[in-house]
Amino acid sequence: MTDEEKKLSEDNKTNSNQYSSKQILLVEDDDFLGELLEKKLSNSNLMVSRVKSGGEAFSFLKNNQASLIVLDIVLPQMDGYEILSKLKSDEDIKDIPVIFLSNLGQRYNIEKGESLGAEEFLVKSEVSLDEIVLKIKKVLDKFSL
Amino acid sequence: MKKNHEKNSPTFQIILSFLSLYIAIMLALFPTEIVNDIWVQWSLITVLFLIVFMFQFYVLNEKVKSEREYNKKLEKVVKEQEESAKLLIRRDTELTQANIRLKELDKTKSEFVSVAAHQLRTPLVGVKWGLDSVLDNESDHLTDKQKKILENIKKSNDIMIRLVADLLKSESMEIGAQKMRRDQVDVKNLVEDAVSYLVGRAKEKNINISVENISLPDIFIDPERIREVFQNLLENSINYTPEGGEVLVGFERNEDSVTIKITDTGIGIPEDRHNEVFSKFFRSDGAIKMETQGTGLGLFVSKGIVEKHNGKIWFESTKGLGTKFYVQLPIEVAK
Repeated sequence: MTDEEKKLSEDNKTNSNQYSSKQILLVEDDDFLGELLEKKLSNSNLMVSRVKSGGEAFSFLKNNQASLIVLDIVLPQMDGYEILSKLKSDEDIKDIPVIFLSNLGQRYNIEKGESLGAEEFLVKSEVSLDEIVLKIKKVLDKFSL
Repeated sequence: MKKNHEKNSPTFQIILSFLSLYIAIMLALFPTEIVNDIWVQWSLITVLFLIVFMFQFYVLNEKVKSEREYNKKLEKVVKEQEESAKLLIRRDTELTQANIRLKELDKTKSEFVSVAAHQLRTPLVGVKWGLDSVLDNESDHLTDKQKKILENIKKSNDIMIRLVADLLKSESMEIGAQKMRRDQVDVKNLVEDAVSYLVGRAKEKNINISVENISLPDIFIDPERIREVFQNLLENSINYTPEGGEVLVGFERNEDSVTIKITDTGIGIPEDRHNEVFSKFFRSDGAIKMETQGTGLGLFVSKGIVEKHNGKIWFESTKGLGTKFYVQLPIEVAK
């Protein structure tokens, strides 16, 4: 954990309620990983809803607000890149920040994600659950300014 | 080859020119006093002209023959060149197709490696996050022994994750999928970044890391990849240096390159293993005895990265006395 992340972690422990109204949409098709993420985000005072595909994500967004989307890439039917492209082309939802969370970690994967407009690209095997929460809160802070 | 028109044939022209000359001379010599008998005159001159004519005809005929032979040879050469050109075009097409197939194969391999890495990582991430979750939420219900076991499982899992990452990098290097950026970089800053990442680990072993203070020109490199190289070399130095040891980073500026030197007071590499150091999965016996956690791929990947920058990497080492690694990087991008 970097010094910045340690500080953010300490700050967040004292300001845990500021994120309780933020709805996180998690798009993850792996049940075990999805459950672990959901549990961690809930325990970090974040509202989280999980879906397993792009189709379910767009259905969710038709009827619900989301402050941030955590998006896997390897997904059934529509991959994460395609989902992000479609998100960005929809006027109503294009401004929702997106964090890619994937096991694809080659440079071209990351560059592609960033070029499509992702705020962050996290490689699952390189981040702990704590680090994921910190990144989410960092992006939420950035977009609430 | 086209046949010459009859009137333009060399033979006809020769005959015509000599006939004209013959008549001119006959007219000129007609009133001569040299030979009185007109028939003798005519006979002598006719024989003379016949001899000259035959000789000229022979010479010109030979010339025409050699020209025809030359033309035939020329035709043959032109034909051979046409055949060669066709062969070159065919070879070029074959090479282009082979190149396309190789690129497709590289792409397939690259995709396979990417998919394989993804598939390997997924269960490893499950273990990683699962352990994070248990240690976070259930630590009150765990005995110290259970926590220790889980921490050890986490460490082993981290090694597996690192091995997959290194394997992926080494495969990407081999199939040329690793593309290097070229940014203008202060290499000393990059070394200091790498050192700051490892200073905690060095402190745990009471190892002092120092970086030479020197002014260097910026160089054009991929900062992420070269930082990886420095991190790998520094990590090796820290891992293979006993407690209380030292790691020194020095620099050398040459006309067209910068050399970064990383020296440690570690266990050194036995001489009989020197030529294996940059091969895949090299780990010296000393490293294994020290129970270091390397995958054996770091130096293989580092060498690949440096060479992709048209740089060089080499080392000097004596068992028991330490190791010095050199990384030389060109200042200008090779054109």
